[in-house]
Amino acid sequence: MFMRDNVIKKGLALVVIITMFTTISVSAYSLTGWNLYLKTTSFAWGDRLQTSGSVIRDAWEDAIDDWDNACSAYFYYASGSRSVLNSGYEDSDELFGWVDVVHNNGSVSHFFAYLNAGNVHISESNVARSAANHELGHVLGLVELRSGRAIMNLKRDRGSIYTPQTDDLNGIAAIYGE
Amino acid sequence: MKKNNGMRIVPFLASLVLISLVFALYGGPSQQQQLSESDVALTISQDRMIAEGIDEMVDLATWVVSGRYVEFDSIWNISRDPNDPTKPSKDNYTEGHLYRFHVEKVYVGKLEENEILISHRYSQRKSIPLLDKNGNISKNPATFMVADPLYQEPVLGDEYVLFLTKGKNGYYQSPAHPFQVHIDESGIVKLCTPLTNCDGTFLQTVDADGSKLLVSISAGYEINDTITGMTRQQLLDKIKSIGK
Repeated sequence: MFMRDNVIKKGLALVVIITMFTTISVSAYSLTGWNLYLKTTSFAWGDRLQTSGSVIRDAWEDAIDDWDNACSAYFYYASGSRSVLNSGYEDSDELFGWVDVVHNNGSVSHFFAYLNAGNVHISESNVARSAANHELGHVLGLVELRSGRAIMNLKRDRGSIYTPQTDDLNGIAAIYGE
Repeated sequence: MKKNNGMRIVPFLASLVLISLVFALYGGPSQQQQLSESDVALTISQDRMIAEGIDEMVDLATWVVSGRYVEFDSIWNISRDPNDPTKPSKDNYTEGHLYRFHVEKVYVGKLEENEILISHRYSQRKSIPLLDKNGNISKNPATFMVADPLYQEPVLGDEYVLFLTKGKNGYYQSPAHPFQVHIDESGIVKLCTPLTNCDGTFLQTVDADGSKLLVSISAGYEINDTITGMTRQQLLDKIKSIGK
């Protein structure tokens, strides 16, 4: 009886440990189902970002560097590109940015990405850069999250999470390989 | 020994069952709803502020008021001229619906008016070159309207509690989604959002220059609704307890 109880306790402990490990090791990312060929795409500047030096343009440029440094995603400027990075202006403090992605058979064809210059928070420290990284994450194939320390998390503190995080990069690795 | 071997198998099987249960519930890397690639031609993703729970809704709001929607007022273009936000954009159009709202009580903030205009984001015009049947980018952009999937049409005359900020054009609006709580005749509260029963992905069939186009819109995530089912008093006590 004592030996049986002892084995049961050990078995339950093993179950708990395995369950905890399994739960922790589940990656926190979601995928759109598309990808960028070779993690590379051209873009052109939109009509509102033809000159450098604005908060929005700086944010896009920082985000491009952030993704390149994080996972060698390559967004390069080409004046004739069908994809565009731009500034929008909606009188809304709820909306930080948006991206329209045209895709076909699992590949991105082209996209139009905007940061909302009309959002009162967009000029606060790192907020625009956070939104820019988030939108480029979509282009690369990541979807919104509701939790975790991730640039794709809609609940993130946009002032302190403004570059791709581990969960985001795990998602990139799942799409493109290590 | 046989008994010991038999007893070792039981926890092993139990652990397999539990592991299977964990993956069944939480899965591995989750996938967006699987659609035929030939169906969805365009995906729109929005980085929006999402509030979950009364605490977050109050924290993000400048005003929290109760009252009733009186009537639909007018339509306006939420897209503005960046050089002069008092003027509508000439190139872009985001349809906002303005409603007159009669304020009965103010719980957070100070408000002198007892009737205010509430702006609801209703739809957005897109003008995007799409792909033709051969997968080539069309020369001319297709133009179409996309409804805001998070829009919740107000019920005139019903009681609401609203969590508000104010835009540059003087209209009261949402600092985050959701921002409306409906209170029925029995005094029971309902959170006004479509995000409690979906993952934040919405499909729309739009008319793009005479052709039907399937658009996918990612506008949030599934909200854990801790508000619906409260009584009016419970809701108000909670708002007051936050003490903003």
